[in-house]
Amino acid sequence: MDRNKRTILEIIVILAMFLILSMIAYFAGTGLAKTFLKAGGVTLGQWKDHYIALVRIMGVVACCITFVWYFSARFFLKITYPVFVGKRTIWVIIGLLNLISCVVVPFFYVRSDSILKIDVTIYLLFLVLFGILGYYASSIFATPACYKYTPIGAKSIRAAKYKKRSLKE
Amino acid sequence: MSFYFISIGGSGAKVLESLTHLCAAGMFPTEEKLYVMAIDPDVGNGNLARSSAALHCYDSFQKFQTGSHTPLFKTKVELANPFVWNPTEHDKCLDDVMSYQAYKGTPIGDLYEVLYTKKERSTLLNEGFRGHPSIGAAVMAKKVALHDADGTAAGDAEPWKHFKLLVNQDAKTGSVAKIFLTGSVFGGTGAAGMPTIAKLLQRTFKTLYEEGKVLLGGGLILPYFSFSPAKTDAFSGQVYASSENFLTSTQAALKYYSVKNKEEDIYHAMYFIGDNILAPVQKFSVGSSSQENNAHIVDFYGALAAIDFFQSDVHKLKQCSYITHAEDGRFSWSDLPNIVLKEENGQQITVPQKERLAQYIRFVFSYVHLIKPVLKQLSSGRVKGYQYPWFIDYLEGLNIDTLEVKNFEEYTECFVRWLLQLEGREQHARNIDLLHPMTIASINPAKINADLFANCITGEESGVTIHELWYRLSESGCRNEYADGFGKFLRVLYDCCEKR
Repeated sequence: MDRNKRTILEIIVILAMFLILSMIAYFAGTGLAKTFLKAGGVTLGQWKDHYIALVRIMGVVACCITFVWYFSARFFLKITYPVFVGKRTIWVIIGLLNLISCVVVPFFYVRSDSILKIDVTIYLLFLVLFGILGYYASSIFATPACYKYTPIGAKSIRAAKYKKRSLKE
Repeated sequence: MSFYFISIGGSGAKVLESLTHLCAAGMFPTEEKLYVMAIDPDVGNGNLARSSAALHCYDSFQKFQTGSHTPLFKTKVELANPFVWNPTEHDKCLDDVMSYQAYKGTPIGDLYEVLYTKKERSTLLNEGFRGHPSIGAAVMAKKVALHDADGTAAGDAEPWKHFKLLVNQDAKTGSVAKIFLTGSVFGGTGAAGMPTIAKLLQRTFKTLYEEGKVLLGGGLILPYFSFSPAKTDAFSGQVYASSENFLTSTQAALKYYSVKNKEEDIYHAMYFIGDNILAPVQKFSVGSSSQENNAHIVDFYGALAAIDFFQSDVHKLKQCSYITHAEDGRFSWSDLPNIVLKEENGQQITVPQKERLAQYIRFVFSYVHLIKPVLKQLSSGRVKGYQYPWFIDYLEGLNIDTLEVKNFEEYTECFVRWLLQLEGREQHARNIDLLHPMTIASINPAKINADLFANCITGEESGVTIHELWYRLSESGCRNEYADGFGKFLRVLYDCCEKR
């Protein structure tokens, strides 16, 4: 496949992934809300209206951070000498940034929203879905070829996939 | 059709070095095998040692399975065994070769004494004929005569025996054997060997020759360098070549070829290659390992002459053509002739030399700059494989600590050194403008200026930066089912170096 087409496809894959993860975060969060929303307080309907906005913001932030890695790997990190070409440190730092954002963004959002109350399980949900699953899965499957084995564990998944494809061809 | 290349003397060896690199770059017209042999009494000659190193490396790594439909390493070479045929034996002088003691006091012995000075007769021939073709001609003629007198042909000794067998096999299968000889006309070994060996071949394959099943080509190297012997050599009274005699020797040789070829029609094609500016040789040597002269554009043209001979149709061989360059004092890519390739279906296609050679140069440079240091670091465990997607995709699990891989790495060093010498801006009066002057940062070990990689070929914006190459290497797969192992990786690397 042509490199530009592949880039577009990878961008679409990342966007689609975060869209799906946002939907999962919304429905799973709604389910979790039933366990911590107290009777006589904010209704589930009211809470959902505010929660969806948080999920949207969280999805966009996590997606943007994932794109920082993607675009860096695709366009900005250039190789001229074959030393220190793994960029795993950068990948880990961006990943940590993503994890932090999964805590910081809801924390400050909730503080500015008097209706939305969230439990620690929502934080955990965001960490798992956006912080780990979103970033990790995107970088495993959609990191540009130059750094395709940089994400930890990518080698065992992508190399096996690559070798299988080569054998087929 | 089969190709045979015989280098004679130091100049011939230098042409052979260029031919080896062109061979590896896939500049040969078809996928025919090339049988290579060298003739030199000075087996330790530095020029020959350098050519031999490159050729033996190539011989070793040509086993790489690079797959089909690629020019990379497509020409398979077969080396003569022994690779160098020495017409004299070790520690023999002319008197020994000519059995002077047996003729001493006879009219033949007296004539011999008149023709050769005492110094010429007593000089050991371990370091060649020292610019004296009269010695070389006598030795070679004697060798040939000896065989004939014994009732045996020269082909009864190796490597001639196998050579003869191959040519006869070609004739049996109905194909044409193209034999190309190259050597200087102004030195010692080449000047003596070019007419003598050609004559020997004509005689050996007389019938096939007359039937047009053996075609003989000659690359005659005319003077292109000069030197001043060190005083110590002159005072020690040694016999050595003198560049002041080059032009007169050449004139005499050319007259000889003009007359002889008209009379006997030995060569089917003759290529005369020289330079009107004589490049000074840095270090004068009478022979042996210290006789190592830098590669020169004349050697390169000598190799192109061989390729032209191999690619030309029989009826075109007698045509008289000139090749020259557009600008006085400068050689550029546009001066080099295109190569005519024969497809499997028999069709001929013309490929610009620049296109193919440029891709090959990028291929070698990229190996030297990107791959070789990484493989070294990976084997020592200093870096981790995940950083190098191409390593995981093609080389992980392979044994790359093999002789073939080592030979390939040595070959890349030879190639970069040859290229740098060919450009040789400081040494030549010529401006050889094929590469960006700063591309090769150093040799031994070869280092490339990575920032200039994309523009390393003069007048070309290839767009293949190191990063781009890395990207291609990481994303592309090899779709050739016949490619395998390290050869498959080299094939991918070569394909990635293509200008797109």
